[in-house]
Amino acid sequence: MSNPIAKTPFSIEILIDGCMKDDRKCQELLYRQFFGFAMGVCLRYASSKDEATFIVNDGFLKIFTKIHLYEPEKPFKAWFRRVMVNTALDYYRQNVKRYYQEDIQEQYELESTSTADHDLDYEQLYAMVQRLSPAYRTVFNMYVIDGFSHEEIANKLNISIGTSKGNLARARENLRKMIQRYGR
Amino acid sequence: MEDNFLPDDQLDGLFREASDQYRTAFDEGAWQSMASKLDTYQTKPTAKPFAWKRLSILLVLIGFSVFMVNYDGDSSSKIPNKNLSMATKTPLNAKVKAENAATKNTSIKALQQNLTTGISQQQNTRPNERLVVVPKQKDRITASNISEKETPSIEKLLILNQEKTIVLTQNKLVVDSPKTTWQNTLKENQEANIDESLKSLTPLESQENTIRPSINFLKIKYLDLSVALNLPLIESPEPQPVRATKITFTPPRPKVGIRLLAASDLNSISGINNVKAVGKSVGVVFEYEFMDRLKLQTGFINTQKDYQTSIRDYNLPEKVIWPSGIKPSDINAQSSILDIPINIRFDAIRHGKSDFFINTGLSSYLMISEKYHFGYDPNYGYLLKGNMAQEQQLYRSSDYLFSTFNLSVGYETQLKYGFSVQVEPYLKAPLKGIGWGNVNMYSTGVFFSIKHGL
Repeated sequence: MSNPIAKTPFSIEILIDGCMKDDRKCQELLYRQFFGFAMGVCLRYASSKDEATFIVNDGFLKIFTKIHLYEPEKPFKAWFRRVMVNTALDYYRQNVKRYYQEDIQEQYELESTSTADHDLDYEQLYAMVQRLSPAYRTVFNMYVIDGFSHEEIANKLNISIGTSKGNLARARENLRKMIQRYGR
Repeated sequence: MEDNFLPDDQLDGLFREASDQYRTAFDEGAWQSMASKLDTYQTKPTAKPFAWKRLSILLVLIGFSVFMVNYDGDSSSKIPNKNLSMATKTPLNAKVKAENAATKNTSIKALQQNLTTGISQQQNTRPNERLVVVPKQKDRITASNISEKETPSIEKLLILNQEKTIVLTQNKLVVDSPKTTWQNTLKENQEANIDESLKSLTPLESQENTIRPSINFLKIKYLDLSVALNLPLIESPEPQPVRATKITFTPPRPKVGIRLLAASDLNSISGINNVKAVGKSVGVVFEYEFMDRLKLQTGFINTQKDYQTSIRDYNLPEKVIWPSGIKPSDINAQSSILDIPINIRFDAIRHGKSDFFINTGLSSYLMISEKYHFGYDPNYGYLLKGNMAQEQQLYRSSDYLFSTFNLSVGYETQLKYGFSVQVEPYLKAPLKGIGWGNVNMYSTGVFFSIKHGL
């Protein structure tokens, strides 16, 4: 994984200060430094890399335009991650009707995307998560990875707590099936 | 069976580890896309909106100052002073005295009095003959007989009948035929010789029965004898007072003018009946009469357009980025726009000092600033408790050349030469969408303006 920004002499405080002044160079450096991290968050919520890139840029736009709301005494990475997760959830809510159509086709996709590779790496695990239906994927990511409670998930996605628990259970079941297929 | 294959804890741990460790390579194309988004959202304003307000106030003050400098008060109160000034200073008056003052003054008085008597008799006997008092007009008659620098004033216009007109000024009396304008007659008669004209006249004797006009006649010059000799002079033992009646008189209009205007702007989206809010406009317009009754107009109008409308009225791109991340249900917009119109005005009716006109053309809109406040469905309220923005503001986002069609009709009246006021109801219809939301904006209102002719 190349991370060109790791060599940058600028500290995160300097970059944040520059971003507050709309300094384009600082914005670019911050973007370069956190792009991989942001994609790691958004790819879990998106169904494709292009969709994840769109969400990442949407999230960065919020970061740059609302960076004055960041509280310096708190970790920047945590604030950054929260903005990215919220952006991904917003994107999900905007497209929930379109996702419902995809859910109908989910079973077919699960049957048709298996491969013969027995060694699971992180990218393949991400691909499995992306292959989940948007409703299952979102609840799984929120609960397992991002640490939301079922009550918070229900509030944010405007669903019941029971639905949240049911979606999580079905997401785990589908992931197990996919992992089992890789192991065959 | 499957739970035994991979328990929840192990499954979750597997994906948590993947999430912590997984990174993707930097995508240069993604940054380019990001940079273009930032260009849209971070464009700095080139001019503060308040600057236009200050400029407008400054122009109003300048216009008012020019008006006050040129304002000469009530003209009637100044006539005696002018007459006195002319009588004492004009070289011709001294020349007349030096040559043959007594004879000439007697002849002039006789002619003046008898002409006036004839006029008053005509008023009594012929209803279509009128004595008209017209306002003083500057710069229409060259007083070459008095002084090149003096500007005489017309104080009475006597219309005897449809064939003849007498113009009485402070300095001269001219008999004219309406077939040519009295101004032209003045020019044509400038070669006439007053002495020769007076010699051919026979002074009338009924001086006691004449009505003396209140005007102080200094002398008579440029008399068209062919007309004057045909005047019906009828003596009357009991002359009746002359009744003044106004006639239509078309004063001159300046060809170049600067106009300050203000209006309340009624804004609507997708139709003029759907008025959403009231804005305001102030501006300055320059105009030039390039043909008779046709004027070319252009200028700068700073317009504050406020409107609230549904999200359906916006023509947005497919993948729009909402500041809060949630698609709003309605948008309250405040836009500051510089309207640069290019219009052609046609004065359809000119009646005295008044003009009724029609005005049409195109406007270019330069977006100075746009501020949008997003309204959300109440069901999304819990989602907006964080730091997500609910407003967005743009500066100098784009310009829309010839994007609006202008149509107006109006009424203008001259207060005095060079100064007029005007009322102008207008409609501005969109030829294409403007602003961040590509909205089809209609504007209606009434321009109130003052104009100074240059």
